[in-house]
Amino acid sequence: MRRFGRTWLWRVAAVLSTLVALQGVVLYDVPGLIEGASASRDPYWLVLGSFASDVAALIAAFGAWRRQVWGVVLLIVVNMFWVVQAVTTLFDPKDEADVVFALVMVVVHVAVLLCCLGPGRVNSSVQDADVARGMTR
Amino acid sequence: MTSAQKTPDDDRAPPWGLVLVAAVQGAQAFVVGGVTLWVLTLVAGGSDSPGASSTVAWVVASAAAVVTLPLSFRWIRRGVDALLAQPSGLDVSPFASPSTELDGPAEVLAAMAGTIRDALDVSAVQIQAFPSPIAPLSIGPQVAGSWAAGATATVGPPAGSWADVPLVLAGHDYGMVRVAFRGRSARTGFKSHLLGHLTRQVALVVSSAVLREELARSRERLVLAREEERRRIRRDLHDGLGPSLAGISLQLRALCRQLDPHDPNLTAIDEIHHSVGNATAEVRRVVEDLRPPLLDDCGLVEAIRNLQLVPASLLLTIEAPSPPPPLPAAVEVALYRIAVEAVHNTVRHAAATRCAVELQLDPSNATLTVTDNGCGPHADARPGVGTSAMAERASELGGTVSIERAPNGGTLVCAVLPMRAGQSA
Repeated sequence: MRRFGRTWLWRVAAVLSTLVALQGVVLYDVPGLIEGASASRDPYWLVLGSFASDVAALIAAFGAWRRQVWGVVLLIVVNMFWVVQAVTTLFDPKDEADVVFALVMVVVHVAVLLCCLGPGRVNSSVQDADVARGMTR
Repeated sequence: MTSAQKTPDDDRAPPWGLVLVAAVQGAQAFVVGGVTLWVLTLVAGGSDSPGASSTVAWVVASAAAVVTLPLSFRWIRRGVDALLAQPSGLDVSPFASPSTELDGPAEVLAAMAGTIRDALDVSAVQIQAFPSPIAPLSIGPQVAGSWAAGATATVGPPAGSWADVPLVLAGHDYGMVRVAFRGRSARTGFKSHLLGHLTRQVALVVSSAVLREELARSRERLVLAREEERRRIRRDLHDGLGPSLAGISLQLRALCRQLDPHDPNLTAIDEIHHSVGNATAEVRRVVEDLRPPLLDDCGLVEAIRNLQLVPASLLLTIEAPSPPPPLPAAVEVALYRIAVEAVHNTVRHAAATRCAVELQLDPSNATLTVTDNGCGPHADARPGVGTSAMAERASELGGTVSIERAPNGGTLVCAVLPMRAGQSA
C-alpha cells in the first residue's frame, strides 16, 4: 500500500502557504500599494516587505508543489518570518479579531513548518515498483 | 559508491543545513516563548502586582523556550537532513546491482523505471525490453518471464507527452525507455541530458541480463549435445566396433585351430588375437567411460536401485514414475550422478538407516529428492568436491541443487533440472 508520503505533506504546505499569501496580497498588500507611501496607514517598508514575502511564498509553494527542495527550503524560511510576525502581532493587537487572526496564523505557519520537516521519506523506486506491479498486471 | 555501501553520513545534510536547523530552532523558541508570555500576560491581566507577574511571566516564557529546544532538536535535524540529503536518497541499486537472477525481467525493469521516475520527477516511465535481439543463439523455446521473451514495466500514471529513447548497445536494439513528462515545460535540457545517461545504464543492465541468459541457454545446449553425442558414440562403439572386434577374435581363434600346432605363423596369429582382445577391452572401457552403462542397460531407476555401494544396513527405497518416460541424455546422466553422489554422502557421512530417493517428472522440470534419517548436514559444513560437482551438473542444465535439513532431522538433497534442455536440441 502506498504511504502518505513526504511529497504529499509538501503539497499540503504549498497549498496552505498559497492561501495565506493570496490572502495577504488581496487584503493587505494591494490596498497598501495602491494607497502609496504617503497615504498608507502602516509604514510603507512594511507593506513592501509583506508583498515581497508573499511573492516569495508563492514562488516557494510552486517549487514545493513540484517536489523541489529549494521550494521547500524557501517555504520554511518564509513561514519562519511569518510565524515570528504573527506572534509579534499578539502583543500589539488592534482589536479582538486581530488576536484571533494572529492565533490562526501561528497555527497555520507551525503546521506548514511541520509539513515541510515532517516524517517520511521520498518515495523510493522500490515502493514505486510495487505500485507498478499492481498497475501492469 | 553504490547505495548498498551507503554510510550514515550520506543521509546527513550539508554543513549549511545546520544554519537552517538553527533558524528553525530560533523561530521555535520565539514562538514558544512568545505564546507562553502572551498567555501568562493574559492570565495575569487582573493581577494586583503587574510588575512582579510580568517578571515571572518573562522567566517562565524564557524557560519554556529554552526547555523545548533540546526536545525538538533531533526531530528538526532529522527533517532537515532528510530534506537536504534527498539526492542521495535516490535508490540506484537497480542500476548498481540488478538482481537479474532472483527477480524476473518485469521486476528489474520496474525497479529501474521507478528510479528514473524519481530522478527526473516525471509522470510515468515505461521500459520495454524487446525479445532477444541476438537471433542466432535464440534457437530454443522462449520461456515466458525470461529476457529472451521480452518484458515491459510501467511506473506511474501515464499522462502528458511520451518521449521515447531506444536502448541500443553495440548495434543491438534491446528495447525502449518511454518517459511521460508533465507537460512541455517540464522537459528541460537537464532532464533530457540525465535521461540519456540513465538510458545508457538501462541498456547495459538489459543487455547484460540478455547475454547472461543466452550464455546459460547456450551452455545447456552444449551439455545436452555433448551427452547426446556421447550416447551415439557409445552405441556405435558398442554395436559396431565391439562386435567387429569380437568377430575378428573368433575368426582368429578358428584359424588357430585349423593350423598345424607347429606352424611358424601360429605365434604371430596368437599375438594378433591377443592384441584384438586388448582392443576389445579398451573399447569396453571407453564405452563405460562415455556414459554410465547401467543407464542404457536397465534405465535410470534401476541404475539407482542397483547401486553397489549401498551397505546392507541402509534401506534404500526408490519412488519414480513407472514406466519412466524417456529423458534427454544430459538430464538422465545428471540425475543419475547427483543421485549417486547423494546416496554416497548418506552412506559415508549420515549414519542413516533409511534413504529414500524420489523422482518426479513433469513437462517443465525433473525433480530428484534424496532424503535420509541420519544426523543431517552440519551447520558449519563447507561444500566438498562431491557437493560442488552436484551443483555444477545441475547448473550446466540451468537447474539447482539444494542441501538442507529434512523435517525428520536427516538430510534432504533436492535437485531440480529443467526439461527445456531436452526440447531445445
